[in-house]
Amino acid sequence: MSVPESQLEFGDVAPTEVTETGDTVVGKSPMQLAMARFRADRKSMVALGIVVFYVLAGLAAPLMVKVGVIDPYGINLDLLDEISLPVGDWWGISGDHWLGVEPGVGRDVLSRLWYGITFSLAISFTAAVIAMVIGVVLGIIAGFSGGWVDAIIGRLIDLWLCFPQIIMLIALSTIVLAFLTEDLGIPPGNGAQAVFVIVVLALFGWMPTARLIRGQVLSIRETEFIAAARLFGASRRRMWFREVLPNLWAPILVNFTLMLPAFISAEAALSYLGVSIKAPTPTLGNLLKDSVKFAQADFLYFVAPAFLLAVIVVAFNLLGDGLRDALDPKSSR
Amino acid sequence: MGKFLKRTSVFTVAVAMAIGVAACGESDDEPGSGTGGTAQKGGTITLLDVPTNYEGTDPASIYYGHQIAGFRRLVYRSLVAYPISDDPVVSGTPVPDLATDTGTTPDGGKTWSFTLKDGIKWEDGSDIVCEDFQYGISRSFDENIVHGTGPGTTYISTLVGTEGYTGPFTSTPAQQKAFDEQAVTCDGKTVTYNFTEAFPDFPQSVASLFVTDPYKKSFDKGTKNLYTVFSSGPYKIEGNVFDAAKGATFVRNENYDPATDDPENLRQANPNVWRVELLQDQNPIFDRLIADSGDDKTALATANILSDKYSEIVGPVAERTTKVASPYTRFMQINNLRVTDQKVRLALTTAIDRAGGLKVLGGENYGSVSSTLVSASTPGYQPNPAFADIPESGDPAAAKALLAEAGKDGYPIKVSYGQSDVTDKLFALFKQNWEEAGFKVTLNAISPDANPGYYTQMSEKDKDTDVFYSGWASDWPSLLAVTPVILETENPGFNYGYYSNADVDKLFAEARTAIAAGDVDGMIEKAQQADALAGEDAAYIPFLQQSNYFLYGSKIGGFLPDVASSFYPDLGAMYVK
Repeated sequence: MSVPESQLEFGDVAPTEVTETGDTVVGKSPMQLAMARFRADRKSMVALGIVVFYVLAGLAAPLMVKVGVIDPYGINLDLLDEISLPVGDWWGISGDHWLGVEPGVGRDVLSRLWYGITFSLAISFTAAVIAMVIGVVLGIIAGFSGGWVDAIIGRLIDLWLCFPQIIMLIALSTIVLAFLTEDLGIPPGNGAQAVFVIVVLALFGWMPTARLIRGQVLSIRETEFIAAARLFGASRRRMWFREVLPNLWAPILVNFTLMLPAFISAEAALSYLGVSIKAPTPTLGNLLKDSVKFAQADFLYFVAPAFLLAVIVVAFNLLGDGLRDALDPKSSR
Repeated sequence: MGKFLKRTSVFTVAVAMAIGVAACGESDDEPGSGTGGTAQKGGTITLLDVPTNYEGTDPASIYYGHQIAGFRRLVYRSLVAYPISDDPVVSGTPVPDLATDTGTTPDGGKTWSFTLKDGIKWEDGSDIVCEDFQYGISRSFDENIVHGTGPGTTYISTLVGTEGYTGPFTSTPAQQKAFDEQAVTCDGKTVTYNFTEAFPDFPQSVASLFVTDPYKKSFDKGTKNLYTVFSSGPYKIEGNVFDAAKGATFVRNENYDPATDDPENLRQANPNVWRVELLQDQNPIFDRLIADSGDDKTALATANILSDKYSEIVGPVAERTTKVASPYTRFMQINNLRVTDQKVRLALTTAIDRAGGLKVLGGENYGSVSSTLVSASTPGYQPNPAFADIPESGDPAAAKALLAEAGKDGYPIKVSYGQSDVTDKLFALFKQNWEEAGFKVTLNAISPDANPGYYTQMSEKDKDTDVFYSGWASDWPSLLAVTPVILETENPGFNYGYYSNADVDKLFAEARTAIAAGDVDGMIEKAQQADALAGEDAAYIPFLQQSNYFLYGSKIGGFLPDVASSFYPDLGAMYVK
């Protein structure tokens, strides 16, 4: 039976049907179907392109610094005028400094932004991976076990969601930093700051994932293959991680892609508030913080980090949406 | 942000640190472009500021320079005061105010006596009597009344019989009796201060600070009076209350008799009304002054122009600015207990690009490169001969040679500074300079909300720091209020570098002897020699002289930052055009 064209959702593929000529359409795996849907969505492809570009840039930056293509710390006082703004009408743009130089000490803006992407991405990626692991493990345990275990984890999630994240972060920073440096022996400074931000972002970011995964697991655990595994006497851990987990890759992927931009902007906000990595090490957040003062005096320096940050957050969000649509076309938008 | 305006001491400096960039350039233009016109009576002048620059209006709690300068002209008279003048020597020499003379001392500064004028009155019409002075200074011993902002009470801690004395509210009757009979005594109209050791600068401290100001006992409600003003000057606040969040309006005080004052030199009292208008943020203050519309034409800011507004100070706006050398200098102190090699210390100074550092902080609007820790506004200022030949942009090659000579190439130093966006950039530069010269540099940025605070950490003798960013402004315009505070071995002041040199100490002692004998030139000569000697030891790293850079409305006349006002706007001669 065929579905009228008008009832097909965008990107949906009509069920296999026998064409008038009598040829059968070649069967496709769910993965192939999802890929096809994703490729057909142009905005997702653009977003993917931007994300890949950022990630490659982030990965390349340390190498570029090493071989001297970019220099985020080099000081160029000669490019500044007497009130320490970049010389010239175009914010100090030149062949050597494509986005001009920073007011104050004349460091190259492009280099600092580029290197800043590396730090911002590294921190948010690490934090998102940790949050994901916590969320998935707790979600599977809660969903699969049910009963009092589910109840406890459920309430734990509720409780955790009640903490005002940013305020806790700022309030805890001194204590946690002292713990990190004095008790765990992490050298004070930006190393400890980075660890602190990663830990706190992860600790306050896993709950939505856990909830989502629990919901998915509730339906998976009633399927036949789980019943079969149970009959064969599979251990609980085997059922959690060998039987259930492989069936969760779609929501995990989607959720991860949506969590990353949230963490990128959270990290920027924290940098702005002075809790995260501090200058001279660049992050998009602390560059933005420094540049706000120059909104009028050095417009390009002010706009560049904000623009980069906005683009990457939007791109990741579009990518996440596209992935969700492709992997789970039935979900409501 | 926002507190800078204090006159010195440890507090001041910490505070100035917190703002980093707020000030600016050179005192090349003639100060007070308005002084040429004739002063007119009448009108209203508005002072725009932020609440954090007014942490109290009780005289014993005031230590911010702009507030001392302003309140001395409007409401709080004292025994002696500094006159309005663009001549630094005139303006830096106290003249009689409530007293008939500038103080007499029979014994080289241990005992000081002042005789009060006739007809001096409080705003309620009652006479200002000797006991008011006795009472005023006694409440400056109460920690709760001085309100933490601490107006230099170290200067009065050497009064006789004040050991353990904690002010009139909390001391035992025996302690109070000892204070009244020994520390400050009254004999009719003569008030006498007795110190355990010679204090030749006492009249200057009276003029410069409010710790010795008179206070009317019947008006005193202790700490509840933090935001009250009980005037002895030409203006008063109706209802006596200064609103900590909004400010206040000062109107004429009809019980003030100009005949008891020296109006021309101290208080011309031109406008009919002064308003202090407090805003929550500094930015709109300068936006309003730049716009110069309506009532803002007769407004001014007592704070320095924010560095991010510099690019808007052009054309006609720039004509409404005044730039003068401030009492503040910035330098780095070297921890002499750890960096014991003179060549290494000299290499630290030789390596840095001071001109570049100045640029980072805001360039010529912020100040000028200096080669000493004495402000150019202090009488007797001279560049330190030991540092005068070091190029302003540094000489890393020479520094490298010095380090090699000492056999200390790769010498590790830990550098501390109070963290801000600007100091981060500044020390990124200095780190590069020092590394070029062969030092191994670790930066230690101390957060503004660190507990204990930056200067408290730096005051520790065993701090883990070799070099630290520092600053100072003298409480009164005298070399003895600067160099010994930072370089003398046994000084309760600011010698956090723990520099110690018996010859330098001896020169300071000789300078004190000279001033006690009234020999100002002798004092200056000895103090200059002491600074030069410390320079030969490379005891500190000179950096820059800060400027004050003010913006005011187009209808303000008589705008003059002078020595008397610590180079904040002197309200004494200001008028509405």
